[in-house]
Amino acid sequence: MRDTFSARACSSFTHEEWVEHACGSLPSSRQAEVEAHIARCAECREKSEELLLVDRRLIAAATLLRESLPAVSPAASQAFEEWIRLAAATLDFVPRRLLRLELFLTPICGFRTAERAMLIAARHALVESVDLLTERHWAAFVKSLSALVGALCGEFAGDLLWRVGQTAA
Amino acid sequence: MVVSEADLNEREAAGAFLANGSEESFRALYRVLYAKLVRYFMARALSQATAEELTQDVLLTIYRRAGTLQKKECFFGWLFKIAANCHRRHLRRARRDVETVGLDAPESIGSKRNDIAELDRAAEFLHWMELLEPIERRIMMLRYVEELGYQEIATALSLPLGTVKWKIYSAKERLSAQLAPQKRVL
Repeated sequence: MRDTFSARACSSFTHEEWVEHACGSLPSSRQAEVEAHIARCAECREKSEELLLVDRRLIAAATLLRESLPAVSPAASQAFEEWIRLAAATLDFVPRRLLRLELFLTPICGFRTAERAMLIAARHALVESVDLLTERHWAAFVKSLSALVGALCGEFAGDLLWRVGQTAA
Repeated sequence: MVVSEADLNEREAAGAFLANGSEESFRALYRVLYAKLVRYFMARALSQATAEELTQDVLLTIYRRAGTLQKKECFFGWLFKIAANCHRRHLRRARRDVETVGLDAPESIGSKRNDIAELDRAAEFLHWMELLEPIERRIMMLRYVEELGYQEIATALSLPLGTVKWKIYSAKERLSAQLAPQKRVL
């Protein structure tokens, strides 16, 4: 078994520092010190070059491995396209949820009020318009809209809206 | 490790999906991840059909659970954690031993290449992995085949970051010692 850095006489740096250096995650000043040491110390330079060589060989071999695996067949891609189309119909994307909220709100408070309430809730969720709502803003948007509807049409309507706004997927 | 254009596309697609979760962004994400995940499973000795089936499971899980991901920058670690869990469940179902599967050169290797020498070279990486301990092997596969960063590997395998770095370093040291006699040949 060949020796390792930690077992060597050269102890300018700790083993942890060598590991961090190899990962490129030492603070830049310390990284420069290690580099300078490697440039001076033949033993450490040899070891460093060996590790670099192993790294290159691993990258090359892993690339060959990846390339040797067959590409996804067009038939499989098409099948997956079909799968995603069907999945999309069942998955609860943001536009579907918005539509559900609109259909719920409009009969309760009218189209224009529903539209304005949704715009105000969107702005509370830090979005400029309802069209720009995303998954990230959804929880804040529904919470705000639920509070607005609760104030406008009663607590029961607000609670109901909150339930309608939950993700079905 | 150099970040490739494909890698950037993957990260952009993941970022867009996590930001808005729309159907369109999910489509873009699966387009860039599909082949990568199929390769992940095939490199672990699964047939193409099984690999594609598990890939679909992983992608569906990602869609359904994306909202639960707290650190968006850990997406790829999380992705491969889900993939590893899917793989483990599949192996359990197939009543195989996890540790003895995944080291043989996948049957699919070389299906694009008929040349024996090419076949050997393609399987070389897996032979090197046989020289390592199981945990080192899993880490090195994620590092070099799936090209994950250290933090992503730590997330994928639920290991401390320091342990991941340490294991990669010691694995390279071990391989360096083992591969040294071949050094001059290359």
